[in-house]
Amino acid sequence: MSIPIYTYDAVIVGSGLAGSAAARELKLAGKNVAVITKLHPLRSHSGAAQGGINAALSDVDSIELHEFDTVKGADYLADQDAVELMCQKAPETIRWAERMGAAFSRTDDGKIAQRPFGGQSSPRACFAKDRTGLTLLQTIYEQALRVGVDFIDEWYAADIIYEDGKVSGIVAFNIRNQEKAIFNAKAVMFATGGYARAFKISSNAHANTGDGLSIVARHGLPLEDMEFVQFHPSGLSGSGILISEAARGEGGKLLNSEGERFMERYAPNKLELASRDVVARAIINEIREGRGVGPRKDAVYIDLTHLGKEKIMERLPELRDLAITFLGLDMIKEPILISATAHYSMGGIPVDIDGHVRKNNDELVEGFYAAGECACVSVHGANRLGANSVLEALLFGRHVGQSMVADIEKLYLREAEQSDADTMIEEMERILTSNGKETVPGLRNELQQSMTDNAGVFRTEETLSKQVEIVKELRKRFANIRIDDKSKIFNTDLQEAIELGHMLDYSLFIVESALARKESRGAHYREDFTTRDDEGFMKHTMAYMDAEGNISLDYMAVTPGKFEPQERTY
Amino acid sequence: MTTITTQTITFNVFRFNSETDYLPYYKTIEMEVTSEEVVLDILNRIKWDVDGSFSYRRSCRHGICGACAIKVNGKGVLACKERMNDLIELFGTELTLEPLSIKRAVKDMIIDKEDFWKKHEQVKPYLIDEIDEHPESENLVTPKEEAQLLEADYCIQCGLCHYSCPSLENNDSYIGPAAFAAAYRFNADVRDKATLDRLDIVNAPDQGVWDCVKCYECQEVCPKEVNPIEKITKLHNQVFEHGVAINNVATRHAVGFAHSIKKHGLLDEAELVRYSEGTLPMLMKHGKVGFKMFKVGKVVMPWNMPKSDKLDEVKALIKSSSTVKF
Amino acid sequence: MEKKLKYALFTGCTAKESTPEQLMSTYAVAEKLGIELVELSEATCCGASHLQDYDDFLSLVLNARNICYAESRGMTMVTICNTCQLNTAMTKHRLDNDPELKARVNEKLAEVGLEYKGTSEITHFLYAIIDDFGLETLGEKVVTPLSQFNIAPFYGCHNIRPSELQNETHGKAENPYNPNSLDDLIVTLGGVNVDYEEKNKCCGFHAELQAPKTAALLTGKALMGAMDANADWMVTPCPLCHLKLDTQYEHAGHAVGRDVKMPVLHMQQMVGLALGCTPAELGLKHHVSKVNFV
Repeated sequence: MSIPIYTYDAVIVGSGLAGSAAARELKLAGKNVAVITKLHPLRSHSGAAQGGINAALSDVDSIELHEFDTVKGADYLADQDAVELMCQKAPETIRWAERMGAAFSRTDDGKIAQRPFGGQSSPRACFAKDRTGLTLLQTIYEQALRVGVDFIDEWYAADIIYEDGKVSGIVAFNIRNQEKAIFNAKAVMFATGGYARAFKISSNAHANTGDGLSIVARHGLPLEDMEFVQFHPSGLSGSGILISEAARGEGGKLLNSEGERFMERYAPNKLELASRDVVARAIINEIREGRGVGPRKDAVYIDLTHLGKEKIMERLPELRDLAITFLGLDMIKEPILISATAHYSMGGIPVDIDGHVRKNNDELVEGFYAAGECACVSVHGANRLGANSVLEALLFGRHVGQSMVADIEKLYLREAEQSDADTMIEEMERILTSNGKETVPGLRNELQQSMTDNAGVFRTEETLSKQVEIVKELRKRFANIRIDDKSKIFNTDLQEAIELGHMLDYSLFIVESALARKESRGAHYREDFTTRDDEGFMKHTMAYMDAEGNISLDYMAVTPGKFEPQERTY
Repeated sequence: MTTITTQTITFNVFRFNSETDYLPYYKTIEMEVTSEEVVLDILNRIKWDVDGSFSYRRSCRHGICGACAIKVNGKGVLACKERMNDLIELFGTELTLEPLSIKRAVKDMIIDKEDFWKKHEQVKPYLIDEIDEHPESENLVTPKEEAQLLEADYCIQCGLCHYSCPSLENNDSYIGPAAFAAAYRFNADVRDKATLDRLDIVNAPDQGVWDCVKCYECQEVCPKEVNPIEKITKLHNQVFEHGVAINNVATRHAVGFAHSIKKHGLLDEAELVRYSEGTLPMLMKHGKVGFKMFKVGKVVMPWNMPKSDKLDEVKALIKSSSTVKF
Repeated sequence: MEKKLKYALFTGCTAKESTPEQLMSTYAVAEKLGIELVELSEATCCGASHLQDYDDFLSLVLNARNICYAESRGMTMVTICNTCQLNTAMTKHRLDNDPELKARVNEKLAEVGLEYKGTSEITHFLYAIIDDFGLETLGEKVVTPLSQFNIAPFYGCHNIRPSELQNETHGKAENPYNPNSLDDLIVTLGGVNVDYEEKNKCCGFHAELQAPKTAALLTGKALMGAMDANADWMVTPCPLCHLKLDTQYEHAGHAVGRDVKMPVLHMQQMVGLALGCTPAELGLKHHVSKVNFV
């Protein structure tokens, strides 16, 4: 049976802030563009961002300070040209989002209000109560819809068409009925989101399985800085569901079982508003030393009661609601239980400043782009600052969309062939017919639990080596799975299996990259190498997977800039 | 949360695969449920521990993406935000899990939501203004103006109100509470320039706000407290405030109350129907029922119409407090 | 009874016009229970949630005025119509929670020498019986238990939704997804309460003229649900639901494709029957769907 081939100028995978922003640019420029998403666009995880989006808007702030905070927060692993671009364009980007309809919270004189966030020299996070991502996602989707972007929802993009250094489309199936199709295009963009779902305790959506990364890696293309996974200090105890940094930005205090405000010991100046990696480690350390609280003693308190009902209801209503739902605790009346949770992927598909995917340190892939959390541009380096992620997604999404507009005239359409769908069809067939003993939930649980245990906030040679073996073993066992659902309609069993395959592949990148980085930098903390080693490791990891699933590592220089590396204290 | 408790719950789970099943059926599953769990945890456990073919939509798992709306014992819930203990307290230890709309079921908890998204698009759910692509400043919007959105921007398009709305259930043309909330969200935005366009859409008979039956199901079911019926009422008000009310049975019915109260204090029921419908259509549509009512003493003759005491006071207040004209 | 219950009765319009039997039975039951009702003769129509569509502020002023007269008598206001209950309680809720709005409304009321203070509670007669009089005490007064009847409770939207508002106005929280007040009342009177899907659903009354098809379908489904659950008759605390169910069976039956005519009693009539009131006292002859079992 032949598979239909649809032709576009550009195809974008993922419909969050980055994908939708790029699509709108392409459509405005008169290009024929489709956005493919495995969800509905409004279910994208961009909408879950709570606290804010950074821009140096106020008189007391400056773009240079924003750049400095970002580079320092990144522990000097960020590429400073990209940081510069982001911070310079941030004010315009936020005002543009406002002009499109985003419902920002306002100051009394009608301007966009801003709040303090961790690691920042000035209150810089523009916000819409504690649902900033929601208003931004809705706004960009609405305006993309308004200009007529073609959103193709509940389709699963399973492969890229990649040959001779050029990408010329994607292969996908309709989740509703397994109808298969080839989307042939001059340009393809990935905006597929992050990979923190590889961990047990995670703030991420079920959908954040990072499929885009291993789709790319399976073609022998590199993944950059995969060891850098941000553990957010405040996930709800048990579930890991996020309590925004806004809770600390608004004045939340962290307390241990002895009632001590322990951040005084870890970051005497910035206290709770030190950068995320610092606070997350402090929390886990308190728990490890027996000063945890809650029924499992696996959390610390964040106390917001002193803010009062009015401020909590005005600034943090969503967070209050979450704590009530998941913990049965009302932050107006009592402290709530939090602990570190896997939250954000600093690493990803390496791209240049205009979003072109890198083939290696020196070459770019033709017709292939990435932006948002799945990409590594790299503005976040070893640790992302709060309220920089939605900024990156929206800003680079748009920027890369513009770069695609500029490139498309020069790109030619390599016509797709039926055989381009072979890999996807084989993958689907293999999973549907595999008749082994392993289950998808079983393997996924083992992966997530072991990643949290061995490649989490604290890492050592021993835990990481062990985890490399575990992941390799799980990859082998994956060949021996069996799924229950053999039908064509909304076969989410099949989809979860495909997603697990991706999680297993990129998890190996995470642990192999982490094992080789014998230093502590940003979110990557090695108990056996507790300091930063600029001499040895002031460089990006570039990891490649061969056909046998072995990882090889290379390194790429960090783009320097006006900020010289210094010791990072808060 | 100091202790975690456990109870045994019997779930009747709606199962249907439109590819292989002629009719839906219910599968009974017994499970130990802890006080920490929400409905989504149960859906996950059914899929992961009992039957991998069980299907439902979900993503964010904390009430912000709107994917996982289903019904439990007829109550619309966002699965990731509904605590099991609250449901057990309400309905006991036997719970029925069903999709939002059984007639739209495609696979288990998954429904075809196409009608929802079409209705959403129907109200032009985006800010209509010429967008400055490279602005040097933002629009100035005071906190008070921002507050006029009345949290309508908080809607996550989960569809709970849409598929709990009896008007929609019985009239496919009706636009429905979620889309009306979206229409209000943009009409209330001081930056938007298309209020009248949207009012044309929401004011049209059959599809528009006049078909709301005022049951408050939408307010009750909304997991984000968007309160769609409040927005529907506001849209009614905008129709009059902007002077675009069409002279028809629906608008006359609303205005008729003011006339009656001015005259009697109380509502003159028969006169309201006559004023709304017109004399002849009233007799044709309601004559038969009216006669039956008359026979059993349910119709008050005009000369016997009761009046409120202190009617002068009422007249004075209507004069001083009216804010719109028809 | 240690203390005599006393309420300011807001009759609403319907009880004065198309459901006279409801007003009669309210007084009959009050007398049997020793409840004193002082009619708010000054009160106007509550706007029925339609005036609110036309002129929200005007409706607030008028409802506030009604409440003023309960306040001036120093009494709790009791309503006998779900929609009156909703609009009055919602007015109270909005004024009590928004000082600015309250000031604007009071500015108008001052012109006629009135002031809304927020001192009177507002409850529906159903909840006055259940919460204030008490089901246990009521049970002791039953002389004719309704034990031979399967009775289908029909709650009516505006007594149960929005629950946030309604739970402010009466003691025991009623959950709109599983309401129990009317069921408890039926059981107290010795009847058998019938469970059916539509008992907490909409009857369609408020869209009768604007959306007759929708309204007829809703009425038909409600009647059909009660019938299929083997109910002998239905009971409702709302005169608007009553009107719809009692008089519109023909349109409704046409919409759902079968005969759905069945007796529907007002909540007060049901209580009255159990307390030994006569059919005449309860106005049973004023029904279109004949009450043929007494």
